[in-house]
Amino acid sequence: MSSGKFTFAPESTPLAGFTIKRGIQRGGFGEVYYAISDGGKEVALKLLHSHVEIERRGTEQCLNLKHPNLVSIIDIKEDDDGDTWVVMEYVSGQTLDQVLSENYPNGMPVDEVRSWLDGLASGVDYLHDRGIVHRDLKPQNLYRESGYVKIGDIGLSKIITPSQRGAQTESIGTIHYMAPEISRGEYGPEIDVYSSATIVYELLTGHVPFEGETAAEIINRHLTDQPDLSPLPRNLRPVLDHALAKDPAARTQSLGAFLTEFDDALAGRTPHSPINPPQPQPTPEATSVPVAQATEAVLQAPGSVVVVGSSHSRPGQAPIRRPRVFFPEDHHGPLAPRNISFSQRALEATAGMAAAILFTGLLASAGHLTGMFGDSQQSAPLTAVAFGLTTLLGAWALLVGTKAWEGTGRESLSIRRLSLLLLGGGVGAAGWWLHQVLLVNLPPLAESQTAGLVDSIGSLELVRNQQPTLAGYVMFFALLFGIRRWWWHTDGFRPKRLRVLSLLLTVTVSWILGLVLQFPLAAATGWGLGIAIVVQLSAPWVAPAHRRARLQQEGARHA
Amino acid sequence: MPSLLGIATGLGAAGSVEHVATWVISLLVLAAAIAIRVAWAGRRGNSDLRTLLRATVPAAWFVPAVAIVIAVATQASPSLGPRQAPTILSQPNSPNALPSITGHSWTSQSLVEQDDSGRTLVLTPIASKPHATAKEARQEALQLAAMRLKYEVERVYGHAGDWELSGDSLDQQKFITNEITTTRPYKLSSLAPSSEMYHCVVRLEVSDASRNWASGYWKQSVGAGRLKTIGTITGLLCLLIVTAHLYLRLDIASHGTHRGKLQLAAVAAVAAAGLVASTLLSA
Repeated sequence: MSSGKFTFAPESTPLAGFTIKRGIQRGGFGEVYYAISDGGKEVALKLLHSHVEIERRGTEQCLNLKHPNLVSIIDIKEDDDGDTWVVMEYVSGQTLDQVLSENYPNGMPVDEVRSWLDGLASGVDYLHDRGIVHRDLKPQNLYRESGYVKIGDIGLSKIITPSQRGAQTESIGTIHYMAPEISRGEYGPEIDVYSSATIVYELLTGHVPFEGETAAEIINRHLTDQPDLSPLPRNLRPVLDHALAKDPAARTQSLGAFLTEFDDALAGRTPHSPINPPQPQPTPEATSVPVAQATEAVLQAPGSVVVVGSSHSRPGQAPIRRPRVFFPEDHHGPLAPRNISFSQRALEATAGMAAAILFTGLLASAGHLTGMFGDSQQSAPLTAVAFGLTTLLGAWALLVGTKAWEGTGRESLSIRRLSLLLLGGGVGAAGWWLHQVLLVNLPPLAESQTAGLVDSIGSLELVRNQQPTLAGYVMFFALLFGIRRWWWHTDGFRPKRLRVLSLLLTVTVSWILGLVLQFPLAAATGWGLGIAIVVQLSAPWVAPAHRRARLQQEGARHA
Repeated sequence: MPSLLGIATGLGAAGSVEHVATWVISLLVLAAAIAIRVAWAGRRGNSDLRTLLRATVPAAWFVPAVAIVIAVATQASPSLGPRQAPTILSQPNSPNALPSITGHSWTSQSLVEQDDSGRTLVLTPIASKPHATAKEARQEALQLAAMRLKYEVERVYGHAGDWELSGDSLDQQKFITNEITTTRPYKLSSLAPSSEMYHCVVRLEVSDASRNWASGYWKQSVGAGRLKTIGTITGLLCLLIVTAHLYLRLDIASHGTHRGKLQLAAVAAVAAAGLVASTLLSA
């Protein structure tokens, strides 16, 4: 699922004979639409955007495949503009990804896993029997409709021939399911076995075997780490160990064999073939170079597309050209591109703002009760209210400012910072006004703040009579909002609801700003901490286990 | 301050400037809301006018709701002037000549001292006019001392709002360090017989401590009123946000089936709260 608008609006007819009803998916290689033919048949139309010839060749090879577990490709057509369209069977059922997220976030029952594996093995073996490797098996590409498991996106499949195996091709894969040998340019049918075993592992446990914070870390783990089999049922561990072997030669050789081993293990039978052959240690040329290259590539290209690979040959083989592999950098983090509708943004922003009222009230009350605002009966309540209202305004500004750009990826980072900077200035002005209206003074400057630091910018005084001026307030809040990456506090896909490290970092930044701008340190750190706590507690948060489902929903709503 | 009800019914004597500001801000909000909605709809590839207008309508209810909040805030704004920066104010002149009282030299001149922590304090004598009774003389002296202290507060903290510091509040305060009442013969005319009149002289301590003490009254009288006003406006704003959230939640849950009714309910809720807030503020 990717962000961005679709080329064609509903009810448009770019391809003769079909009326587009809605967009379904948009990826690096095209757009998929749900459409109705003039005769009334529901179809999925895939518009090829890039690498059209490669895509077209791959699709043509699959054009006449017929199997109940494969999403059928009906035809390939060109429109009046010369664009290529693939007409496919439309599958309306849920993807395995959705089923897992919504119904089994902690893993499926073994019987259910077995039924998915059955359809998967049947469809993939059918492809392999015809010399085709799917290359992109993942839960998002598996559907169930009318009881049948359907394997989709076979347009990426490639013919296995000696000349083409490992030849220059392009693949868009998901690194969580990617076999280690792909980094060496090997695209044998074993990679589908590895991906399927990874899927089965995820179905049984609710998580993939190799997780990591970055693409580089996940690649590293695929290449070097042994999967942790302890969460699996004891009898299935050898089966998964066999299918997840690093060396394709040592791996289970087909999905059919994998299914048989799976069934044998469940029935407590002795396997027909040894399933635990000694695992050869990864050779230097098989691991170290790709790890280094992959890691380097990820570090050098922080965007959403990472290019891995260069010429590399195995002993005894002619040099092969490594395919380029595109890795989405961050699927489920604060910078993940998402299709969030206007109403959904408004809903989440107002939810956060409403919750912020509660949390700010609690924070200010706690501060008042603990004597943080002094013990004067006249001034302490006013100070508490002025602090609380400024905190609330700051939290609201951040919630609205970050929610407006949520899901827009890295492209909007500059405009995010600029908008937050401006909003911070507004909050500063409002905070100054509140303190003037409520007759509240901030605590006096600390002794360490009186010498050698900025107290004016040009003719603009930041401090007067030990109190920040309007310019002082505006500068402090503008910089606090502009410097910190507040979307890590408020994004629905942030790592945790409340991150103590972020709070500490925000307090540190506030303290430094207080020192630089001669803003009273107690007030500076108090606001930094208070606003950070309130926005993190208030901003809606999607648990990692539910993020895939959320992305699917957003994609469907967007379409 | 006319209430929103008064403005709406034309019964209030609202200033035309307030009306213009409310209308201008409301129209700007309307324009901004439409622009944002249209820009958003355009971003998603829906660019024909009908689609754009259709996309704008669901957000339109928010405009009257925001206008109500703005109207209430505008109504309250005259009482929410920020503190003016402290300036050199003209010191209230003591209208009464300081009497020289034998044995009490403090009654005739101010004295600059330092307190235990080394901060400067001024001890200044303040005298009443002649009065028929000692009580009246003392009350006047205390009232003049209170005026002097009020001036000191505004000189240091700035001026904001109207507030009073009564002479009675200074009674028994440690800031009145000395006090003496004397009698003197007065003749109103050459024909009238002379009579004894009372003078009271108090010595006021002008220091951080006395200013802080007096600023408490300042905050109590001005701050409390403003707290009520700001609390009312903030409450209304919070209600607007909660209403918007509930509207969106219900609208999404019902797939827009009851959108019109929900919009009406949301505006009605905010309008009702706006009227209550306006009445509270005008009370």
